[in-house]
Amino acid sequence: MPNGYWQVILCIQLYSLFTNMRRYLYLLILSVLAFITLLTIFHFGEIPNKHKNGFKRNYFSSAWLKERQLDLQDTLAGIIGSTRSTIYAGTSTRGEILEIGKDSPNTTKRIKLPYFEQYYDSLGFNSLSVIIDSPAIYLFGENKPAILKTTLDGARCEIRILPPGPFTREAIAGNDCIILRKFDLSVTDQSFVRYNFSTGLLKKEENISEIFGDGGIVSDGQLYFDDATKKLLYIYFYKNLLLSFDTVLNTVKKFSSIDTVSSFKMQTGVVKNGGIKAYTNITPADLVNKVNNVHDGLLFNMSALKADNETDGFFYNNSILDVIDLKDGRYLGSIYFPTVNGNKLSRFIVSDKRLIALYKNSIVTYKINLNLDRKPQ
Amino acid sequence: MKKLLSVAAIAVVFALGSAFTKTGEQWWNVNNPRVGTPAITWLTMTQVKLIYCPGVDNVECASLISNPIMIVKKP
Repeated sequence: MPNGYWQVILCIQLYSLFTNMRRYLYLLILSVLAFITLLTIFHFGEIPNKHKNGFKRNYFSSAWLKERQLDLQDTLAGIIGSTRSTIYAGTSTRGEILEIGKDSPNTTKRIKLPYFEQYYDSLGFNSLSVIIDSPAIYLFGENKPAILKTTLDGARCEIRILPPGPFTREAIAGNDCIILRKFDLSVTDQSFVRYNFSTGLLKKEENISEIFGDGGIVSDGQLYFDDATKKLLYIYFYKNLLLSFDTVLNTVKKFSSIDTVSSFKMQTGVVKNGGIKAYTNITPADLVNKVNNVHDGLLFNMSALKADNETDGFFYNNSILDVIDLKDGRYLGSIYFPTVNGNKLSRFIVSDKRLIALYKNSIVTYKINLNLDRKPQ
Repeated sequence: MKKLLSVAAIAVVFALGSAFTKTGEQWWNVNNPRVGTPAITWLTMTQVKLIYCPGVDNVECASLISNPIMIVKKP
Protein backbone atom coordinates (compact mmCIF):
# COMPACT_ATOMS: atom_id res chain seq x y z
CA MET A 1 0.00 0.00 0.00
CA PRO A 2 1.45 3.42 -0.95
CA ASN A 3 2.56 5.78 1.85
CA GLY A 4 0.16 8.52 0.77
CA TYR A 5 -2.83 6.25 1.34
CA TRP A 6 -1.90 5.70 5.03
CA GLN A 7 -1.52 9.42 5.47
CA VAL A 8 -5.00 10.04 4.07
CA ILE A 9 -6.51 7.36 6.37
CA LEU A 10 -4.69 8.89 9.38
CA CYS A 11 -5.96 12.38 8.51
CA ILE A 12 -9.55 11.10 8.20
CA GLN A 13 -9.29 9.27 11.54
CA LEU A 14 -7.83 12.35 13.27
CA TYR A 15 -10.50 14.63 11.78
CA SER A 16 -13.25 12.20 12.86
CA LEU A 17 -11.85 12.03 16.40
CA PHE A 18 -11.53 15.81 16.59
CA THR A 19 -15.10 16.30 15.29
CA ASN A 20 -16.52 13.85 17.84
CA MET A 21 -14.52 15.44 20.64
CA ARG A 22 -15.79 18.86 19.61
CA ARG A 23 -19.39 17.56 19.86
CA TYR A 24 -18.70 16.19 23.32
CA LEU A 25 -17.05 19.45 24.26
CA TYR A 26 -20.10 21.46 23.14
CA LEU A 27 -22.34 19.15 25.14
CA LEU A 28 -20.12 19.51 28.19
CA ILE A 29 -20.05 23.33 27.91
CA LEU A 30 -23.83 23.46 27.54
CA SER A 31 -24.35 21.21 30.57
CA VAL A 32 -21.98 23.32 32.66
CA LEU A 33 -23.78 26.50 31.51
CA ALA A 34 -27.18 25.00 32.42
CA PHE A 35 -25.85 24.02 35.84
CA ILE A 36 -24.39 27.50 36.44
CA THR A 37 -27.73 29.06 35.38
CA LEU A 38 -29.60 26.90 37.90
CA LEU A 39 -27.13 27.76 40.66
CA THR A 40 -27.43 31.48 39.85
CA ILE A 41 -31.23 31.32 39.94
CA PHE A 42 -31.15 29.49 43.26
CA HIS A 43 -28.65 31.93 44.75
CA PHE A 44 -30.18 35.21 43.59
CA GLY A 45 -33.84 34.15 43.26
CA GLU A 46 -36.33 35.32 45.85
CA ILE A 47 -37.12 31.92 47.32
CA PRO A 48 -39.10 32.29 50.57
CA ASN A 49 -37.15 31.48 53.74
CA LYS A 50 -33.89 30.83 51.89
CA HIS A 51 -32.22 33.78 53.59
CA LYS A 52 -32.52 34.93 57.19
CA ASN A 53 -35.68 36.91 57.91
CA GLY A 54 -34.25 39.07 60.69
CA PHE A 55 -36.33 38.01 63.69
CA LYS A 56 -36.36 35.34 66.39
CA ARG A 57 -39.15 33.54 68.23
CA ASN A 58 -39.54 32.60 71.90
CA TYR A 59 -41.75 29.65 72.70
CA PHE A 60 -44.24 29.12 75.50
CA SER A 61 -43.37 25.98 77.42
CA SER A 62 -46.06 23.29 77.83
CA ALA A 63 -48.47 25.59 76.09
CA TRP A 64 -50.96 22.98 74.90
CA LEU A 65 -52.46 19.61 75.52
CA LYS A 66 -54.08 17.65 72.69
CA GLU A 67 -57.65 16.80 73.68
CA ARG A 68 -59.02 15.02 70.63
CA GLN A 69 -58.61 14.48 66.93
CA LEU A 70 -61.43 13.84 64.52
CA ASP A 71 -60.50 12.44 61.10
CA LEU A 72 -63.04 12.92 58.31
CA GLN A 73 -63.52 11.88 54.71
CA ASP A 74 -64.46 15.45 53.74
CA THR A 75 -61.98 18.07 52.61
CA LEU A 76 -62.45 20.84 55.15
CA ALA A 77 -62.53 24.36 53.76
CA GLY A 78 -62.77 26.51 56.87
CA ILE A 79 -64.28 27.12 60.28
CA ILE A 80 -67.32 29.31 59.75
CA GLY A 81 -68.60 29.59 63.31
CA SER A 82 -68.61 28.19 66.80
CA THR A 83 -70.66 28.23 69.96
CA ARG A 84 -69.78 27.00 73.46
CA SER A 85 -70.64 23.46 72.41
CA THR A 86 -70.47 23.34 68.63
CA ILE A 87 -68.08 24.00 65.76
CA TYR A 88 -69.35 24.65 62.23
CA ALA A 89 -66.95 23.76 59.42
CA GLY A 90 -67.34 24.36 55.70
CA THR A 91 -66.57 21.50 53.31
CA SER A 92 -65.65 21.44 49.65
CA THR A 93 -69.25 20.44 48.86
CA ARG A 94 -71.05 23.63 47.92
CA GLY A 95 -73.85 24.59 50.30
CA GLU A 96 -73.00 21.97 52.91
CA ILE A 97 -71.57 22.43 56.41
CA LEU A 98 -70.58 20.10 59.23
CA GLU A 99 -71.87 20.61 62.77
CA ILE A 100 -69.38 19.08 65.19
CA GLY A 101 -69.83 18.76 68.96
CA LYS A 102 -66.85 20.23 70.84
CA ASP A 103 -67.04 17.73 73.68
CA SER A 104 -68.43 14.82 71.70
CA PRO A 105 -66.84 14.97 68.25
CA ASN A 106 -68.57 11.76 67.21
CA THR A 107 -71.84 13.69 66.98
CA THR A 108 -71.04 15.12 63.56
CA LYS A 109 -74.06 16.30 61.63
CA ARG A 110 -74.19 17.25 57.96
CA ILE A 111 -76.34 20.33 57.32
CA LYS A 112 -77.55 21.83 54.05
CA LEU A 113 -77.46 25.61 54.22
CA PRO A 114 -81.02 26.90 54.17
CA TYR A 115 -81.99 28.91 51.07
CA PHE A 116 -78.63 28.15 49.49
CA GLU A 117 -80.00 26.36 46.41
CA GLN A 118 -82.76 28.90 45.96
CA TYR A 119 -80.60 32.03 46.11
CA TYR A 120 -77.25 30.82 44.88
CA ASP A 121 -78.46 30.67 41.28
CA SER A 122 -81.08 33.36 41.23
CA LEU A 123 -78.80 36.00 42.78
CA GLY A 124 -75.66 34.79 41.08
CA PHE A 125 -73.65 34.31 44.29
CA ASN A 126 -70.45 33.50 42.43
CA SER A 127 -68.38 34.31 45.47
CA LEU A 128 -70.08 33.27 48.66
CA SER A 129 -68.81 33.50 52.20
CA VAL A 130 -70.69 32.02 55.17
CA ILE A 131 -70.54 33.07 58.82
CA ILE A 132 -72.56 31.37 61.56
CA ASP A 133 -73.27 33.67 64.48
CA SER A 134 -75.61 31.26 66.21
CA PRO A 135 -78.56 31.18 65.86
CA ALA A 136 -78.14 33.37 62.76
CA ILE A 137 -76.44 32.33 59.53
CA TYR A 138 -75.15 35.03 57.21
CA LEU A 139 -74.59 34.25 53.54
CA PHE A 140 -72.46 36.96 51.97
CA GLY A 141 -72.82 37.26 48.22
CA GLU A 142 -69.60 39.18 47.83
CA ASN A 143 -69.86 40.06 44.16
CA LYS A 144 -73.62 40.62 44.03
CA PRO A 145 -73.25 42.39 46.57
CA ALA A 146 -75.88 41.06 48.96
CA ILE A 147 -76.29 39.67 52.46
CA LEU A 148 -78.78 36.96 53.34
CA LYS A 149 -79.59 36.35 57.00
CA THR A 150 -81.32 33.15 58.00
CA THR A 151 -81.38 30.54 60.76
CA LEU A 152 -80.21 26.95 60.84
CA ASP A 153 -83.79 25.68 60.63
CA GLY A 154 -84.54 28.15 57.83
CA ALA A 155 -87.55 29.54 59.71
CA ARG A 156 -86.55 33.13 58.97
CA CYS A 157 -84.95 34.67 55.94
CA GLU A 158 -84.08 38.28 55.16
CA ILE A 159 -82.07 39.54 52.24
CA ARG A 160 -80.39 42.89 51.63
CA ILE A 161 -78.94 44.11 48.36
CA LEU A 162 -76.07 46.52 49.00
CA PRO A 163 -74.95 49.51 46.90
CA PRO A 164 -72.77 48.55 43.88
CA GLY A 165 -69.21 47.41 44.49
CA PRO A 166 -68.19 43.96 45.72
CA PHE A 167 -66.77 43.23 49.15
CA THR A 168 -64.16 40.67 50.14
CA ARG A 169 -63.96 40.52 53.95
CA GLU A 170 -66.72 40.42 56.55
CA ALA A 171 -66.98 40.52 60.35
CA ILE A 172 -70.04 40.48 62.61
CA ALA A 173 -69.46 43.21 65.20
CA GLY A 174 -72.62 43.04 67.27
CA ASN A 175 -76.33 42.84 66.77
CA ASP A 176 -77.06 43.67 63.11
CA CYS A 177 -73.69 45.46 62.85
CA ILE A 178 -71.56 44.11 60.02
CA ILE A 179 -68.15 45.47 59.02
CA LEU A 180 -67.17 44.89 55.41
CA ARG A 181 -64.09 45.60 53.31
CA LYS A 182 -65.84 46.93 50.25
CA PHE A 183 -64.82 48.19 46.82
CA ASP A 184 -64.93 51.98 46.48
CA LEU A 185 -65.15 53.02 42.83
CA SER A 186 -63.96 56.57 43.53
CA VAL A 187 -60.50 55.32 44.57
CA THR A 188 -60.49 51.94 42.75
CA ASP A 189 -59.61 50.30 46.03
CA GLN A 190 -61.32 48.75 49.03
CA SER A 191 -62.08 50.39 52.33
CA PHE A 192 -64.00 49.47 55.48
CA VAL A 193 -67.72 50.19 55.82
CA ARG A 194 -70.20 49.54 58.61
CA TYR A 195 -73.51 48.10 57.49
CA ASN A 196 -76.56 47.95 59.71
CA PHE A 197 -78.62 44.96 58.66
CA SER A 198 -81.85 46.33 60.22
CA THR A 199 -81.77 49.88 58.89
CA GLY A 200 -79.67 49.32 55.76
CA LEU A 201 -77.44 52.28 56.69
CA LEU A 202 -73.93 52.16 55.29
CA LYS A 203 -71.13 54.24 56.81
CA LYS A 204 -67.68 54.59 55.27
CA GLU A 205 -64.45 54.61 57.24
CA GLU A 206 -62.38 57.75 57.78
CA ASN A 207 -58.66 57.44 57.03
CA ILE A 208 -58.20 53.86 58.18
CA SER A 209 -57.11 52.09 54.99
CA GLU A 210 -54.05 52.85 52.90
CA ILE A 211 -55.17 53.50 49.32
CA PHE A 212 -53.18 51.99 46.45
CA GLY A 213 -55.80 52.08 43.67
CA ASP A 214 -55.29 48.44 42.67
CA GLY A 215 -58.70 47.02 43.56
CA GLY A 216 -57.51 46.10 47.06
CA ILE A 217 -55.14 43.31 45.97
CA VAL A 218 -51.88 44.37 47.60
CA SER A 219 -53.62 45.40 50.84
CA ASP A 220 -55.66 42.19 51.05
CA GLY A 221 -55.89 40.60 54.49
CA GLN A 222 -58.13 39.07 57.15
CA LEU A 223 -60.74 40.91 59.20
CA TYR A 224 -61.80 39.93 62.73
CA PHE A 225 -63.96 41.31 65.52
CA ASP A 226 -62.77 40.67 69.06
CA ASP A 227 -65.74 40.50 71.40
CA ALA A 228 -63.58 41.05 74.51
CA THR A 229 -62.14 44.40 73.42
CA LYS A 230 -64.94 45.33 70.96
CA LYS A 231 -62.25 46.12 68.40
CA LEU A 232 -61.80 45.09 64.82
CA LEU A 233 -58.46 43.83 63.63
CA TYR A 234 -57.30 43.75 60.02
CA ILE A 235 -54.18 41.71 59.32
CA TYR A 236 -52.38 42.33 56.03
CA PHE A 237 -51.37 39.26 54.04
CA TYR A 238 -48.31 40.75 52.35
CA LYS A 239 -46.60 42.89 54.99
CA ASN A 240 -46.41 43.00 58.77
CA LEU A 241 -49.09 45.66 59.30
CA LEU A 242 -52.05 45.16 61.69
CA LEU A 243 -54.86 47.73 61.91
CA SER A 244 -56.91 47.93 65.09
CA PHE A 245 -60.05 50.08 65.03
CA ASP A 246 -63.51 50.28 66.55
CA THR A 247 -66.92 50.13 64.88
CA VAL A 248 -67.13 53.95 64.62
CA LEU A 249 -64.47 53.58 61.90
CA ASN A 250 -62.67 56.86 62.47
CA THR A 251 -59.51 56.09 64.46
CA VAL A 252 -56.93 53.42 63.91
CA LYS A 253 -54.02 51.99 65.88
CA LYS A 254 -51.23 50.39 63.87
CA PHE A 255 -49.23 47.43 65.11
CA SER A 256 -46.95 44.98 63.40
CA SER A 257 -46.48 41.24 63.36
CA ILE A 258 -43.17 39.81 64.61
CA ASP A 259 -41.41 39.73 61.23
CA THR A 260 -39.52 42.59 59.58
CA VAL A 261 -41.48 42.83 56.29
CA SER A 262 -42.63 46.43 56.66
CA SER A 263 -43.13 47.13 52.94
CA PHE A 264 -44.85 45.20 50.16
CA LYS A 265 -42.63 42.93 48.09
CA MET A 266 -45.53 41.94 45.86
CA GLN A 267 -46.39 44.31 43.03
CA THR A 268 -49.76 44.72 41.37
CA GLY A 269 -50.64 45.80 37.86
CA VAL A 270 -53.31 45.94 35.18
CA VAL A 271 -54.00 43.28 32.60
CA LYS A 272 -56.44 43.54 29.73
CA ASN A 273 -58.09 40.86 27.67
CA GLY A 274 -60.55 42.07 25.08
CA GLY A 275 -62.91 44.38 26.92
CA ILE A 276 -62.00 43.05 30.37
CA LYS A 277 -59.54 44.99 32.46
CA ALA A 278 -58.30 43.62 35.75
CA TYR A 279 -55.89 44.32 38.54
CA THR A 280 -53.79 41.43 39.72
CA ASN A 281 -50.40 40.71 41.19
CA ILE A 282 -47.58 40.81 38.66
CA THR A 283 -44.91 39.34 40.90
CA PRO A 284 -45.31 36.23 43.08
CA ALA A 285 -47.67 36.65 46.03
CA ASP A 286 -45.40 35.80 48.94
CA LEU A 287 -47.62 35.70 52.01
CA VAL A 288 -46.31 37.10 55.27
CA ASN A 289 -49.29 36.56 57.59
CA LYS A 290 -50.92 33.37 56.44
CA VAL A 291 -53.59 32.17 58.88
CA ASN A 292 -54.78 33.90 62.03
CA ASN A 293 -57.49 34.35 64.63
CA VAL A 294 -58.31 36.88 67.33
CA HIS A 295 -59.56 36.05 70.83
CA ASP A 296 -59.70 37.87 74.15
CA GLY A 297 -57.45 40.74 73.08
CA LEU A 298 -54.85 38.44 71.57
CA LEU A 299 -53.84 37.82 67.98
CA PHE A 300 -52.75 34.29 67.12
CA ASN A 301 -50.90 34.56 63.84
CA MET A 302 -49.32 31.85 61.71
CA SER A 303 -46.60 33.57 59.73
CA ALA A 304 -45.22 32.19 56.49
CA LEU A 305 -41.75 33.25 57.56
CA LYS A 306 -39.16 31.19 59.38
CA ALA A 307 -37.41 32.79 62.35
CA ASP A 308 -33.62 32.93 62.41
CA ASN A 309 -33.48 30.63 65.45
CA GLU A 310 -35.51 27.87 63.72
CA THR A 311 -34.20 25.06 61.56
CA ASP A 312 -35.87 24.22 58.24
CA GLY A 313 -37.03 20.90 59.67
CA PHE A 314 -38.63 22.51 62.72
CA PHE A 315 -40.36 25.22 60.66
CA TYR A 316 -41.77 22.87 58.01
CA ASN A 317 -42.86 20.18 60.49
CA ASN A 318 -44.76 22.51 62.83
CA SER A 319 -47.51 25.09 62.63
CA ILE A 320 -46.08 28.04 64.55
CA LEU A 321 -48.44 30.68 65.96
CA ASP A 322 -47.14 34.01 67.22
CA VAL A 323 -49.19 35.55 70.05
CA ILE A 324 -49.53 39.34 70.06
CA ASP A 325 -51.22 41.49 72.71
CA LEU A 326 -53.64 43.79 70.88
CA LYS A 327 -53.62 46.45 73.59
CA ASP A 328 -50.07 47.50 72.80
CA GLY A 329 -48.96 45.27 69.91
CA ARG A 330 -46.41 43.48 72.11
CA TYR A 331 -45.15 40.07 71.00
CA LEU A 332 -45.77 37.65 73.88
CA GLY A 333 -44.35 34.42 72.51
CA SER A 334 -45.08 31.57 70.10
CA ILE A 335 -46.74 28.18 70.24
CA TYR A 336 -45.92 25.32 67.91
CA PHE A 337 -48.13 22.40 66.94
CA PRO A 338 -46.73 19.41 65.03
CA THR A 339 -48.13 18.67 61.57
CA VAL A 340 -51.04 16.20 61.37
CA ASN A 341 -50.72 13.55 58.64
CA GLY A 342 -48.01 15.72 57.12
CA ASN A 343 -50.21 18.83 56.94
CA LYS A 344 -49.85 22.17 58.68
CA LEU A 345 -53.07 23.62 60.02
CA SER A 346 -55.12 25.44 57.39
CA ARG A 347 -57.51 27.41 59.65
CA PHE A 348 -58.12 27.67 63.37
CA ILE A 349 -60.18 29.42 66.00
CA VAL A 350 -59.49 30.08 69.66
CA SER A 351 -62.34 29.98 72.15
CA ASP A 352 -62.76 29.04 75.81
CA LYS A 353 -59.03 28.34 76.31
CA ARG A 354 -59.13 25.88 73.44
CA LEU A 355 -57.59 26.09 70.02
CA ILE A 356 -59.57 24.24 67.38
CA ALA A 357 -57.34 23.56 64.42
CA LEU A 358 -58.51 22.54 60.99
CA TYR A 359 -56.29 20.34 58.85
CA LYS A 360 -57.04 19.02 55.38
CA ASN A 361 -59.16 16.09 56.61
CA SER A 362 -59.00 16.47 60.40
CA ILE A 363 -60.10 18.68 63.24
CA VAL A 364 -57.88 18.72 66.31
CA THR A 365 -58.77 20.34 69.63
CA TYR A 366 -55.95 21.57 71.87
CA LYS A 367 -56.37 22.90 75.39
CA ILE A 368 -54.05 25.89 75.62
CA ASN A 369 -52.33 27.34 78.67
CA LEU A 370 -50.13 30.31 77.89
CA ASN A 371 -49.31 31.77 81.37
CA LEU A 372 -49.37 35.18 79.81
CA ASP A 373 -47.60 38.14 81.27
CA ARG A 374 -50.08 40.76 80.10
CA LYS A 375 -50.27 44.40 81.07
CA PRO A 376 -53.43 45.28 83.04
CA GLN A 377 -56.34 46.88 81.18
CA MET B 1 -28.95 11.33 19.57
CA LYS B 2 -26.09 13.71 20.44
CA LYS B 3 -27.65 16.43 18.31
CA LEU B 4 -30.94 15.92 20.09
CA LEU B 5 -29.22 16.19 23.48
CA SER B 6 -27.44 19.36 22.42
CA VAL B 7 -30.69 20.92 21.21
CA ALA B 8 -32.45 19.86 24.42
CA ALA B 9 -29.68 21.37 26.56
CA ILE B 10 -29.87 24.66 24.64
CA ALA B 11 -33.66 24.66 24.99
CA VAL B 12 -33.39 24.12 28.76
CA VAL B 13 -30.94 27.00 29.13
CA PHE B 14 -33.13 29.36 27.11
CA ALA B 15 -36.37 28.25 28.80
CA LEU B 16 -34.90 28.77 32.26
CA GLY B 17 -33.49 32.10 31.26
CA SER B 18 -36.79 33.38 29.87
CA ALA B 19 -38.90 31.92 32.70
CA PHE B 20 -37.00 33.79 35.37
CA THR B 21 -36.43 37.03 33.52
CA LYS B 22 -38.17 39.89 35.32
CA THR B 23 -41.12 41.19 33.32
CA GLY B 24 -41.62 44.33 35.40
CA GLU B 25 -40.76 46.65 32.52
CA GLN B 26 -43.71 45.40 30.47
CA TRP B 27 -46.27 46.15 33.13
CA TRP B 28 -47.91 49.12 34.63
CA ASN B 29 -46.67 48.93 38.16
CA VAL B 30 -49.45 50.30 40.32
CA ASN B 31 -47.33 50.61 43.46
CA ASN B 32 -44.51 52.40 41.75
CA PRO B 33 -45.54 53.64 38.28
CA ARG B 34 -42.67 54.51 36.00
CA VAL B 35 -42.93 57.20 33.38
CA GLY B 36 -42.72 55.86 29.85
CA THR B 37 -43.69 52.28 30.57
CA PRO B 38 -46.73 51.04 28.69
CA ALA B 39 -49.91 51.33 30.73
CA ILE B 40 -51.43 48.04 29.73
CA THR B 41 -49.95 44.85 28.33
CA TRP B 42 -51.98 42.38 26.39
CA LEU B 43 -51.63 39.36 28.60
CA THR B 44 -54.71 37.23 29.03
CA MET B 45 -56.39 36.61 32.37
CA THR B 46 -55.76 32.90 31.85
CA GLN B 47 -52.02 33.50 31.63
CA VAL B 48 -52.08 35.58 34.79
CA LYS B 49 -54.26 33.09 36.69
CA LEU B 50 -52.01 30.23 35.68
CA ILE B 51 -48.91 32.03 36.88
CA TYR B 52 -50.10 33.89 39.95
CA CYS B 53 -53.41 32.40 41.14
CA PRO B 54 -52.67 28.78 42.03
CA GLY B 55 -53.20 27.59 45.58
CA VAL B 56 -55.95 27.66 48.14
CA ASP B 57 -55.05 30.59 50.35
CA ASN B 58 -58.37 32.46 50.16
CA VAL B 59 -56.55 35.56 48.96
CA GLU B 60 -57.90 38.01 46.42
CA CYS B 61 -56.04 37.36 43.18
CA ALA B 62 -57.80 39.54 40.60
CA SER B 63 -60.10 42.53 40.59
CA LEU B 64 -62.05 42.94 37.35
CA ILE B 65 -62.85 46.60 36.97
CA SER B 66 -64.95 46.28 33.85
CA ASN B 67 -68.72 46.36 34.22
CA PRO B 68 -69.78 44.68 36.48
CA ILE B 69 -66.90 45.02 38.94
CA MET B 70 -66.01 41.58 40.17
CA ILE B 71 -63.41 40.22 42.55
CA VAL B 72 -61.81 36.81 42.11
CA LYS B 73 -60.71 35.03 45.28
CA LYS B 74 -58.89 31.74 45.55
CA PRO B 75 -60.98 28.97 47.06
